[in-house]
Amino acid sequence: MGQGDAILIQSPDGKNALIDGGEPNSGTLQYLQIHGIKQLDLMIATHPHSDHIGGLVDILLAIPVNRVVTNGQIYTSPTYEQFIDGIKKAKAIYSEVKQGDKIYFGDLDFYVLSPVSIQGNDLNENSLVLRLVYGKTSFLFMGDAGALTEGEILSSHITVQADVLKVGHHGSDSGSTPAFLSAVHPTIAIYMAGRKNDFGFPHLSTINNLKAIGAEIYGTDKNGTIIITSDGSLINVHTSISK
Amino acid sequence: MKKSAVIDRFEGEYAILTLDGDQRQLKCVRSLLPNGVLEGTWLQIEIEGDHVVNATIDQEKTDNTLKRIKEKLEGLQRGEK
Repeated sequence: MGQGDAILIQSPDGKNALIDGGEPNSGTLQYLQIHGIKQLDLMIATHPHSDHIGGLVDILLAIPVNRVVTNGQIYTSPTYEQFIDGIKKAKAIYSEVKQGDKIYFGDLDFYVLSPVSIQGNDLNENSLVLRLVYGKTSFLFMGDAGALTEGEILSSHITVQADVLKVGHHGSDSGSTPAFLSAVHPTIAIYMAGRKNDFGFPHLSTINNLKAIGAEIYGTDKNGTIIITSDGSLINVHTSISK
Repeated sequence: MKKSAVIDRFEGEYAILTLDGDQRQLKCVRSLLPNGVLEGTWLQIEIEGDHVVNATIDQEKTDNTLKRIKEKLEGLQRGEK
């Protein structure tokens, strides 16, 4: 259906983490293999929709995965069942996290900003929202969280500021509210949307909200694979398709 | 053609369905689905070409699938390998 999230994070001490994996057979496993990544130290599933966990199933069945972290939400889709089966087959360590927890990853830590608990029937709003700090640089990963989650995070007074924002829900107008973006105040914003996708992502209002806070905007529909490097003080952006 | 499918997610006015078996995905407008459906609800659908023309809730399959997956998830939560 023309979209998906997959984010590979390589720590300074050479460990590999993956946040989401896109749809099944969407190329995430091949990307890892082409880049010589033979195992994952950490796999994080933000929520159980197939455009986030589908590609994780391919990886669990193909290469060693040490740890898998989720928000703990159970789901009835065949993709989710294969994900659960895959974790078992991979003999990965399984854990569930919520707001206030820390996910240890080499010499980096992910701080879990949301959810407080699994609530309601909207899977997007139960997405894991994670903040990563490396030196003076910081990164915020929204999963598919929307305005409801953004409001809850703001009212919990946790630090949300980030230099790099992975925009929530493929650039949908379900989130990226001016109040939240103002608190995050990213210099770089990245949305992940399929080229000519069926849903009009990214929505114009989201792009306008990001422009209004002065963020430099990148999208996988226009820029292809987006690589961010940080030395702890400076951030560099490289894209497979030039701006 | 009649098929079994689950609502993988809603995207705006659309529902994305995953078919049982080959796990092909279909998009249909939410207004075509019966009242009371949620993400994760299993349906019996009628398809013409790539279009869903009718859908009814399959509560038994929804409940049975949830029960089966819950047992698997609880195994992981207990640290079973």
